[in-house]
Amino acid sequence: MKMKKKMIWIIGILLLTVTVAGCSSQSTQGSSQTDKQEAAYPTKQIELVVPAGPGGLTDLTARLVADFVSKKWKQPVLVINKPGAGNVTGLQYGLIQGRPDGYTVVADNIAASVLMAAGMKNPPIKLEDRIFVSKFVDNPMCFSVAADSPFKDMKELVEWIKQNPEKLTHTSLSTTSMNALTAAELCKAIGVDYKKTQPVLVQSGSAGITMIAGGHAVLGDQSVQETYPLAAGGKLRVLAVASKERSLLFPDVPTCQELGINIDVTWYGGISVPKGTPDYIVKKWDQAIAEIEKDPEFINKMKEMHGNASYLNTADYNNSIKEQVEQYTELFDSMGVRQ
Amino acid sequence: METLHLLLSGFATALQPDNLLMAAIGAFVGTLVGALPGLGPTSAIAILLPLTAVLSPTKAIIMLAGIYYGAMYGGASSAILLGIPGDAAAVATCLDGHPMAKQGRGGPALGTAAFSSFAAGTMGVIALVFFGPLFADQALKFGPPEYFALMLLALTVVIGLGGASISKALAMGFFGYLLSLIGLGTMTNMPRLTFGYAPLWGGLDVISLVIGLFAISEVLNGIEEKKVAISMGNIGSVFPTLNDLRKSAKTIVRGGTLGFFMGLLPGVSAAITTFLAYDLEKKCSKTPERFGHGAIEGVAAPESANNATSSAGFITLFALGIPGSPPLAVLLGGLMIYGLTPGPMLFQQNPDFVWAVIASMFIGNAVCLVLNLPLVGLWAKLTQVPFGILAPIILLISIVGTYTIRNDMLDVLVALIFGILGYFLKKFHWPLVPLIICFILGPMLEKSLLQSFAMAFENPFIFFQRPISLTLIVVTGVLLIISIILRRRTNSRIASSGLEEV
Repeated sequence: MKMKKKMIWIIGILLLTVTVAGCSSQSTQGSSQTDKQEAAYPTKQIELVVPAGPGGLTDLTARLVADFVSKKWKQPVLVINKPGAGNVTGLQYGLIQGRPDGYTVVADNIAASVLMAAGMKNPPIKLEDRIFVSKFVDNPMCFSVAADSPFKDMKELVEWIKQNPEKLTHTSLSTTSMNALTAAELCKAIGVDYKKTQPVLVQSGSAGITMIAGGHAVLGDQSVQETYPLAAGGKLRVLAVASKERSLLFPDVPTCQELGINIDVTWYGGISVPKGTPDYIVKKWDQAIAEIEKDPEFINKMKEMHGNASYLNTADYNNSIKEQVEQYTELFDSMGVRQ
Repeated sequence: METLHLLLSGFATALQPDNLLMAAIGAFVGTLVGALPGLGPTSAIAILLPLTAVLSPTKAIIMLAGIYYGAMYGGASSAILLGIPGDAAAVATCLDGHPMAKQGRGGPALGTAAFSSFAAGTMGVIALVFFGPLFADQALKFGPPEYFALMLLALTVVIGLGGASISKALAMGFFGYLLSLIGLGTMTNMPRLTFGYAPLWGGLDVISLVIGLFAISEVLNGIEEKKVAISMGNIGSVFPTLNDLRKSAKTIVRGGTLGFFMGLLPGVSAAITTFLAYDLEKKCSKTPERFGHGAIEGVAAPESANNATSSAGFITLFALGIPGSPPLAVLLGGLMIYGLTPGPMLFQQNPDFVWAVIASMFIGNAVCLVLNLPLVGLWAKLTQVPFGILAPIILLISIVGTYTIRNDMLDVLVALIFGILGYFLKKFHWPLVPLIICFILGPMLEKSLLQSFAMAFENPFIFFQRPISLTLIVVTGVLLIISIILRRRTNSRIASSGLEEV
């Protein structure tokens, strides 16, 4: 009996030593790999965090990127939706809790990065919390009115806004959203005080554009992707596109710049990784995005989702973000909405 | 006539064996995920979305739509048999369905649920076929003031379903509203009631509240009562009797109609329409005191409203491209992947697709019925499983279910806290329904109120100046008066019958 107990103890200790040894040898192997720096990447599944619910443009285009990147690298790229708290939940999960080892990447966008930094004095997620890798999708903003609205073109609308700025109702996701930005840029360009206008806050792009189609607010300031379904169905009239170039979705609609209104507002999405992610991984992602952006199939799929494949490399992307943050911080300050 | 022709050719497509198989797979998966709390149709559709890459658009959407309405069927089984409402929409079903299961009438309850889902779902699809685009235009007329008035109307349910004491009902409603405030403000995007704790920014999820208050508290209650099994008696007949169905026929029509018209409005979810239908049924009933104690109409009403609401959601999705609920938003994503643009153009550009999907809904509803009815007997036996075995399983499902909502342990913690709270609330007869209703309606009321003020330049009379909202407010007033009169009647009857209201 005693013998047996002793044997169990010995076997137990032996097993323990083997396990401990096994674990420690594994960990030394791991650290030697990081020492070598440019180890093989990726060797396992990558998580692509989408800070929005499934079904929207952020999600759809991220899934497309995941699909193409995983085919290229022959490793699964798993899209994880973390919606809530205006992008914060997802960014928190991906950038703050995510490990900077290249296996957690985030489908970032202008609202989550630039507008959060410009709109808040103390944003919960800061620009420095991530490395911006590259931009992959564009979605210009545009101006629309209900189909039965008296305004037939942008000129008539602008004249009316100049006369009645306090009667201008428009929808917006928050006081510092893409919608608010679009409307504010318009006001600035035509010399109207944005503070006099009346934003109606809504919870989703589709809720906002539906209110415009129903005539419950005057000016639609959504993206072309959000505007397209109701416009194609004849419920909305699109007056002008807010980007420099015309939209592929509305080839006949003039840009604001063509009409002498000097604005350029475009929603965009890109890849970000947690700060501290090694350089070679950032480069690898940037290269991969650059390559898939040239793939006609990718461009075509993007078009089908009403997005616009548009690439900026790491350096250009970072510069443009820096510029925009300065520009929009000033704008939000002048609008009195910076919190 | 042309519509009929298109529909028939749609049937020809949908009845092809491979499409039929897709509808069946979708309905089966949907029933399964619907029965499991937390894993609702939204996540199921999202998970299966990549699968569509290998399927043709028609097949894929048929399958995804099958998941969507299959989940509506599935939600009933766990709510009725185990008392676990998988989502807020199943709470109303739980109110009478679970008492029925306890009385050994789980079979008829499930059968009635399946049958009313089928009947109302089919009614909804018929309405979709003939009046779809017409109704869609009406939905656009609903602006913030109309939504506000509608939410006020829905709020009268608190009085109708609030139990014996109005003050207790109002207090619970207020508590529910307070809970809904946790998180980022609907309009300001500033954190409220988070006490500086960042994980609370996302707010509480209604599913974790529902699972805690109803499922977990029920388990605790069972432990206290030393329950042997959910149902002690003989299961008896598993199918609803002809009499049951006859009793439910009018209910199905009422619940279905209400669910359909409300479902046309984006944002008005099945969670709201099921409660309204249940309350309406209680008001229409000659014996309202039976509600909450296993009235079969109390199962038929929310289940029919539920499915009619989901059918109506397809109208705004197809005709306007507006997703009325989260699962439809994912479905919209599915359409976009194929380069199909929902909206009036979809009917013109891809009629084959649209009509095949609509036809598949008829078939899918039938498939769900065929799939569910034979299983009823098997499911109903669950109620006889010893409680000592079942209780840990219910707890496990509840915990896994709440975790899958957002893959967050916080939701599990919330569910456990509310499970304990729910146990005490039930024990001391504080009604739970007002809490859930106000939790759902609160943010919508706040949003539409602020939006109305913004669009009307702070004019508070806007609600009375627009015909639809004025009508709704008048109806709300009338309903409120009726509710109070009916309560008195119910209370006196309860006093005389010796039943205790829940």
